[in-house]
Amino acid sequence: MLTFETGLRILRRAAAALLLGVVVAFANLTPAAAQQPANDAALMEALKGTLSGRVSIPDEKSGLLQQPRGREWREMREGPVKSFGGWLLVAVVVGLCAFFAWRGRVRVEGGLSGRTIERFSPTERFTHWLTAVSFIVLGLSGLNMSFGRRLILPLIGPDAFAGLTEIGKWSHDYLSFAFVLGVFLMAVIWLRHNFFNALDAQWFKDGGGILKKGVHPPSSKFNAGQKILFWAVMLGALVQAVSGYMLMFPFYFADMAGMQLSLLVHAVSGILFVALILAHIYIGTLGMEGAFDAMGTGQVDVNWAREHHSLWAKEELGGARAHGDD
Amino acid sequence: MKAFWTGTVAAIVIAIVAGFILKAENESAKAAFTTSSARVSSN
Amino acid sequence: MARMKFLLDSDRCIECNACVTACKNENEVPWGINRRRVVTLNDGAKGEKSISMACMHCEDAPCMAVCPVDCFYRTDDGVVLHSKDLCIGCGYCFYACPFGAPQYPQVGNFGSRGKMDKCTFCSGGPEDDNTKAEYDKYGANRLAEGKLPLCAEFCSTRSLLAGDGDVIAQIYKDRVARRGYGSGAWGWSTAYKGGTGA
Repeated sequence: MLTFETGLRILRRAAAALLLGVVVAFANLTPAAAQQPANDAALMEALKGTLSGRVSIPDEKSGLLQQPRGREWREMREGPVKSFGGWLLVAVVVGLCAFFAWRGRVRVEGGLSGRTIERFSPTERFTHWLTAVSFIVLGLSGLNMSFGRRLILPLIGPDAFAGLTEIGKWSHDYLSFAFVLGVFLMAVIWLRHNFFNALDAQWFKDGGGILKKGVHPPSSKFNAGQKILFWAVMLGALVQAVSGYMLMFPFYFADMAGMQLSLLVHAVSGILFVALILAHIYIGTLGMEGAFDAMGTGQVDVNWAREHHSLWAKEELGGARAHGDD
Repeated sequence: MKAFWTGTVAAIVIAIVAGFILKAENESAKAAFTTSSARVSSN
Repeated sequence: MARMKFLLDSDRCIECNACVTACKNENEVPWGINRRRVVTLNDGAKGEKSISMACMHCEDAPCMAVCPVDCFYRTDDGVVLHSKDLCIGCGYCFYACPFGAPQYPQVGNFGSRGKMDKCTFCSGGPEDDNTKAEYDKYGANRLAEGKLPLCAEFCSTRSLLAGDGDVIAQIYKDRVARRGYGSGAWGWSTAYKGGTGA
């Protein structure tokens, strides 16, 4: 963005210089100034970029007379952010469909045993769903702010769409607190399970076991892929919270440049976050047999546990926490 | 699935509480961008 | 068809704020919201200039481009207006506007900053012309009565011109030719692609 600004500034100065040259040439021919009068390039040049001044209004922002960066912000948001972001999401959905078509559902190869053990406690599941439900609404309302005008407005008309978007914005702003609390609780209960170790390197080498049948790299409570997700969520939530609260408190912490940057960061990071969670939802529902139970009832099949989280299962079963048919 | 419903309800409750608190805190343009001596009471 | 514009002759503006007062009164603009404002550059120093700014009713209006609910529209006269019924008060138009035209009733952006308000070129809004509903939401519709914006009508030095872009550009051009100097129509190179007009 800096080089673009500089480029524009150079262009404007060049235009002004050219204009002055023309003025001087004409002034020598006719007594009256024959410069192109309605063009303010000379004025902008004379002011040398000081585009803010004194106002008698208590609102300091009124003193800013012109902010050229708004144009670049608009072009960035309407251009690369929306097109790149939009197509990225499409690519993720298409990619997941293609993967499912090729790999199918990852089955429990030993077959379901009918015995279960507790994978996630009620507290863990509550924390997950508090965060997840908030995220769904945040994600949808957020995507609507970027893409709704193009995709949904033509379908339902301006009045319904404005009403929907308004509700979306209220939900987005207020559910953010539930989401932030949820992520904080996740950090509290799960941080110690998400540090990386040598086991994770092996897990990655085996492709997580997802690409081929019969490959089941050992894993503790969370496998390496889940650990990556954990840290991505921590980082993503932090970025979204900081940029989001800057947006909710406009000009409290940031000036115009800061606000514009916040919006771009929030949009881009939000889209990436949604893409990541789409994959997470896929693997936790359609992608893997027996996975959803972990967060649904909290009880997972013993064979599922042995295949996908062998070390964790061994610990749990050793503690005699297995249940019979539920 | 009880955890799902308690999670959902908790999210909604937190959102509503946050809403009330923030709305109470929100400053109007009238308060923020006028000086007290300029505010005539007729409006 | 006329293409309405404002032209501010910064060499004539004396910072009297008559334009600001006229606008506030004619449109019953709420407290704290300023559709038009006068900004003084290099205050007290050599080259001091005052510029009255409201909305430039841009050609490729950035506000219109970024609005998530597409609540802006352009009249046949080239005036950029918006619908307060559709507006969700997100504040994006303010980030995009080069001139700071959009104003909001609420300072914090919790759910909404309230309905955006801005200069309408004294041309009202989507409601039927010169109805009470239109006046309550958007202020006066002078254009529908064949009148020009009150800010320009009130300008004590005829620094602020409002009307058809070609006409006022010509007035300014003649003025500049007659007096021998003129710094340019503030904001025109940003707001209009053509830039020079006449």
